[in-house]
Amino acid sequence: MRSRILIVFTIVMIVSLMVSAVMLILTSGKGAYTSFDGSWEGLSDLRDHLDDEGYDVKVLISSSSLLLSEEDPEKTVFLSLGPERAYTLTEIHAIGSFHERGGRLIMADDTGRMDPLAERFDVGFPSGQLYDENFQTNPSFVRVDVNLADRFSGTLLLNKPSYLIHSGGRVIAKTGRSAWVDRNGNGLRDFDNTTQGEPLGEKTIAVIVDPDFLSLGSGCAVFISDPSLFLNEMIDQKDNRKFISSLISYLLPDGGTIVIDDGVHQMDGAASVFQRGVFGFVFLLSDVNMKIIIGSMTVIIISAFAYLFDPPERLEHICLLDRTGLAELAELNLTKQDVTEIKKIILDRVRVRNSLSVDDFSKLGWDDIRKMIDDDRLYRFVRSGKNYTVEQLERILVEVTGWGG
Amino acid sequence: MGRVSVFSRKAMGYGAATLALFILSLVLSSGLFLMMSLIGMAVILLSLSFIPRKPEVTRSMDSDLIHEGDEVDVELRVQGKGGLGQVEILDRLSPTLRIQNGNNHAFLSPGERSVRYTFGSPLRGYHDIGPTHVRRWDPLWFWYREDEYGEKKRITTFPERTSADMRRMLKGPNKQRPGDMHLRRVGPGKEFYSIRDYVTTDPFHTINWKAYARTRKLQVNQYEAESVTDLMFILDSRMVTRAGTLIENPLERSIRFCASLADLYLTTSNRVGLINYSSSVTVLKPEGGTNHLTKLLHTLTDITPSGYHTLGATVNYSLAYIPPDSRVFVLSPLSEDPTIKEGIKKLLARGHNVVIVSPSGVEFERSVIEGMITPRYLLKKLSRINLIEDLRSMGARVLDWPPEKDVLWAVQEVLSWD
Repeated sequence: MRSRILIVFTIVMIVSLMVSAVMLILTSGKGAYTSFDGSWEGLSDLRDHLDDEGYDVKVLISSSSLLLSEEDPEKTVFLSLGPERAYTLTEIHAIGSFHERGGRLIMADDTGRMDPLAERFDVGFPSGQLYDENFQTNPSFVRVDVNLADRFSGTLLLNKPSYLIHSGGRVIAKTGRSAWVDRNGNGLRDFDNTTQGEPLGEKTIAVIVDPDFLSLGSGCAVFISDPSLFLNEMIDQKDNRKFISSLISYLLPDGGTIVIDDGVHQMDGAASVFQRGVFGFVFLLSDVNMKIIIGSMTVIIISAFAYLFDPPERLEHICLLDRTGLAELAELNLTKQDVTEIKKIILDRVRVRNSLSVDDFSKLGWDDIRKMIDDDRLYRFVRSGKNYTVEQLERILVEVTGWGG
Repeated sequence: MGRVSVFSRKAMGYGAATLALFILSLVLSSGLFLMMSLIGMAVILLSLSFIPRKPEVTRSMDSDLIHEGDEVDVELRVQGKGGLGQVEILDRLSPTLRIQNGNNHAFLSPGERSVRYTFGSPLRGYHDIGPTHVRRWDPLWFWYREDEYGEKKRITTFPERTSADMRRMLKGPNKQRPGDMHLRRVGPGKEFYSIRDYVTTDPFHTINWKAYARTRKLQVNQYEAESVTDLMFILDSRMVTRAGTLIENPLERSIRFCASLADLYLTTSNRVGLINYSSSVTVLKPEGGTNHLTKLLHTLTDITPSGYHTLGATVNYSLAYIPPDSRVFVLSPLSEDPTIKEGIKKLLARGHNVVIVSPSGVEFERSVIEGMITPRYLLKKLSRINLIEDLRSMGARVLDWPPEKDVLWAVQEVLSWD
């Protein structure tokens, strides 16, 4: 017999799975720099190309903090292209940790959003579009030479690139001397007498931070100042595709896994809602602070639940026959208020012992009563109006008990 | 009670542990913990899926009218229809009943089972038996579904009567003859019985003139003979009379005394009435016969200690119900009532033969506090001694009834005064 709870649970599970499946389908193919987008600004060609080359291509749609759980970083390349949001501290920590564990990174950006992460590697993405006299068709399409550690040399075609500043590493792509950066975004080269100055000179386009990673067995990070060379529209321009292939094979000489970070790109419509939900969930479970909070909350909730949980009544016969009750002896000891009753007891004893009615007794004088009591102490007690302590009252009561029989 | 499903503490612990493992598995990204939590969830789901089917429960008892001290055998038949798990049953009993043999609580495996037990009823009253609570547990004791089966049955426990013992020991109570009792035979009385032909010795006022006019023959009325013993009990059932234990306290002693003596008098063709005062005053007018005995016993069975009515006020209210010159038994511990002397005085002034049977309240209470002699006990005892002496000096007969003496002793003492 199936219980109702089980049926409800099963239905909820099935509906959840169906919704998740629909969401996953909706998630595919929407948004710039995303792996399933087949438009000119998508990365579907790149994904297919890498797949064809035998790499295991994975797409991360939530948060790069999941890199913390990557079990084989030395055979994994994390590919982050043109992020549309800055990385969170947890993600930066996760990526840094991934790199320290031997992971490979390709980080391409032209917006400066990657700066907080790049600072960790002494690399910067200054703002401003790079121009060069060496362009193709349009000044936005800049051509640069690339030389990848003698593995590959050629020309890259970039689309509105930026440039890099760095303190070390090996430069693998740079412009000619005629390049300059439009810092104020006016589309013109301002001469040196302006505030910032937009001087001509060689600019770094791509740099390998850890060129000796193979010999040292460490991780390796490659920064590129233009992500657009990976786009569907650009990948077949000049030697872009070859460069990408060479770079990947340089980082993963024995093949491996490539993780494309779609989590930093905004998706459209319902898919973005799902993406944000997944991101939030992953963030909750991967952020160190959130881990502490969630762990504490779980302990508190379980403790509170255990405290508030009212266990079922134990079935047993309850017999009340042994219950007892007190009335006159509920208070065991005397109090000062008992003095009147003790006096009454003494006088009643005297009256009863002498076989007198209440009326007859009330007609007697104190001298007669004194004779009847025949005990000065008790007589003084009966006549006195002074306060007696409880101990004194108890002594008198004991005396009366013996005296009265 | 409707059908309810309840989870046990074990289930809550198990569920919490599973949840904690699941959270830990996510936080620590641990596959081992995830596996353990999934296994835990699977076990819970399995447990939720199995429960014994609803059984049929029938109860049989060998009696529903007993006296204090009697025992009743009960048999519960549980006919299950299979399934995994356990069936827990509890045949609800009034808290004033005591299990003597067996148990009214049992765990049974599904199938046809029976449970026997015997309960004793040491305290008078109307006691409820049932309904039967049935919990159908899953195999792992995580949760159960609870139902009630059968109707609530009521058994009546009359106060213990020692009249049978007394009848064996005594030839019969000395009958007082101040009241009247119809004896279903011709004799002096007030109630019309029959008509017969006139004889010269008949008093003139007994002639039935209407019958004479109808038959043209002198006829006289005959009346039903009447016995003359009336006995009134004034029973103190205030809250204070329950001091002691539930079974042994002044009220229960008074009620057993009343039932015993009333039984004795009623079975010897007398009339007995009862005035009970607690939070109010109720009067059962003097009558005779076995039906009246049953009525009286039901009244005594139903008494619950309550209230603070006084004897003085009770006598004032109920004097009109007490037949003149009848014998009056006041059953009271004589405590916490400043109007006792006033009430007794009124009864004596009206010419009643007043017997006060007083189970000692302070002694019953002392037995509860393990026989300690405390200053307050001495105070109350002296006060009680004085009051009893006073009542005796007024002309009432007072039986100071200590707890260690039983009802038979009290009845013998009282009857020995006749």
